[in-house]
Amino acid sequence: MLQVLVNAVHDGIIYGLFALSFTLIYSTSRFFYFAHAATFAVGAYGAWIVLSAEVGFFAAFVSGVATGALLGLTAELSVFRLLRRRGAESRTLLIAGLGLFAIIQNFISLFFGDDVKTLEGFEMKVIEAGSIRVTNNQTFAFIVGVSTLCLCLIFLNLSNLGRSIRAVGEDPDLFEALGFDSDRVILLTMTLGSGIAGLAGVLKALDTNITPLMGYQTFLMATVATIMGGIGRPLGAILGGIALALVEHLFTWSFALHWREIFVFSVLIAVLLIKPEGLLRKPGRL
Amino acid sequence: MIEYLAHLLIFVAIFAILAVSVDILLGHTGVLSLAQGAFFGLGAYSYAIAVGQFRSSWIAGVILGMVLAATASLLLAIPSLRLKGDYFLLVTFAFQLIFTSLAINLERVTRGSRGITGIPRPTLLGYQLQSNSRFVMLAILEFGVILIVLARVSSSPLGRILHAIREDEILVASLGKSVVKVKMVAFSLSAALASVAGSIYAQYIGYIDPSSSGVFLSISALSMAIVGGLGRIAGPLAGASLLVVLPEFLRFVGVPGSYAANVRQILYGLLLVVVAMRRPRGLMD
Repeated sequence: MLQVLVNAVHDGIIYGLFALSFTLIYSTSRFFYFAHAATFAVGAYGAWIVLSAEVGFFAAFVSGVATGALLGLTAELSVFRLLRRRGAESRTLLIAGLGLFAIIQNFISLFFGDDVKTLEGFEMKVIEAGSIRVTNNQTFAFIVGVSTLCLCLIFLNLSNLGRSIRAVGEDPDLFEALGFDSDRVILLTMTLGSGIAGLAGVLKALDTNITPLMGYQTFLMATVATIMGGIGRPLGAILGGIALALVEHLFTWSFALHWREIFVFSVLIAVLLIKPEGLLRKPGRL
Repeated sequence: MIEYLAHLLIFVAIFAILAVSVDILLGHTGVLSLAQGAFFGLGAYSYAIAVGQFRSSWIAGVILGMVLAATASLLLAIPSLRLKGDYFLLVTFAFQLIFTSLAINLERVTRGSRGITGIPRPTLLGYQLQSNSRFVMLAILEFGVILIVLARVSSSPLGRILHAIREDEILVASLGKSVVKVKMVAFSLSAALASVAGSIYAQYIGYIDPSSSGVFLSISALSMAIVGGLGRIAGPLAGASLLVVLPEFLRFVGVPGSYAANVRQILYGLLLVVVAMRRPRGLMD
């Protein structure tokens, strides 16, 4: 039972990272960025390819994050910024994002093949503490994940740049009217968000395997977590991710694994019908 | 050669029907959905099981698919159609993933990832349509019927309400019409049409598996409808024709078969991005 909780927290941190990155992008760019699902896999493959070049794990890890960030940066500069400048409505951005998703996903399949790959992190050692067993990779993910989440929260709340991100999310017109450059903030958020997604992908790859479609389910989890926590609420997204993972693991512990999607789907419908603005109460800005 | 051309034409017909299903929803009503692949698959699987296993007539198989798809779509729509566009899209995406997962996991019904083989071709007047050149006539006939349905619906009072909803939902609601109910009609109609496309696909290829009805099929369908022109009667056919024929040139350029599917999807995605860039203010004219 405790083991279930430990696994859930591990997964929850990955969901939380992915959800945080998604909610940042969604609240600033103001459209449902589907290609984010692909960024997850891009990060994992980015790490894998560097690791295969035998440059060491740290380099591979950094490349995973960097590849993700680079993807977001490129997408924003080459597609979304142009579209916004031409007055695109959010649906057009969404559709462009869907197109990008298809392109990137299939590029991955094309380039890397559909077979399952593994990302070798540290030499697998199992740590036993009482009745709990954790791998050192999971511990690594936990440490890195939690640190990143804390850093992000600190950044978003205490730094000027972080506050600009939240400002653009809340009222873009006012932000522009006050003379700030929302384009720059959006670019930053896209890059940062995609980097975090890449990071989440690497952490996930350490735990399970790498396949081209690995982003799908986690993306669904992340978006549900975002909605649970309230759009544009970074802490909400993180907590949503952890909560969702907890409930998911408890659920699949009692029932079979492949009812997982139906379970998430039911959670999604329930939240959307009952409290679409998110389950967190409004304590103020976070 | 004739068989190859007939094969292309059949695929155009199948995907044109799928594009019509997208167009009714997106082009005429303004609702974006990612569930087309699931309804396509539902039509394909129900046809495969009804006709392949239970030996029912092919018409019954198609109708069964339509009924199942329409029912599933209504079950999906009742809790979620009143939600905002992005949320509804997410729900349809989740539904699409669920369908694929069920197709893989309900082994006893769907034979899992191995898929169902040996789906027979339909028989017309006691004569089985084995060759492509014979089958294509049925496919064209079916598409023709659906195109007429589309044209009739578009110019009917229902069509007018759909177009009004696309342009200004709030106005329609303020005039006393139930926007949600009308959208449900459009959604179930769209689902039924997608399932017809799936049934024809199943009876043509003779084999169906979970991968033929995934998210990428939904995106491909969107691509065909959008590239062809939303809201126009000729749009779905134009889009399907282009997107089915264009990748065939890949063959002549020498792209190996194992890559062809991926390259095709990249092409479809690219077209979506290109169309979006050229018509930023809305994909309708």
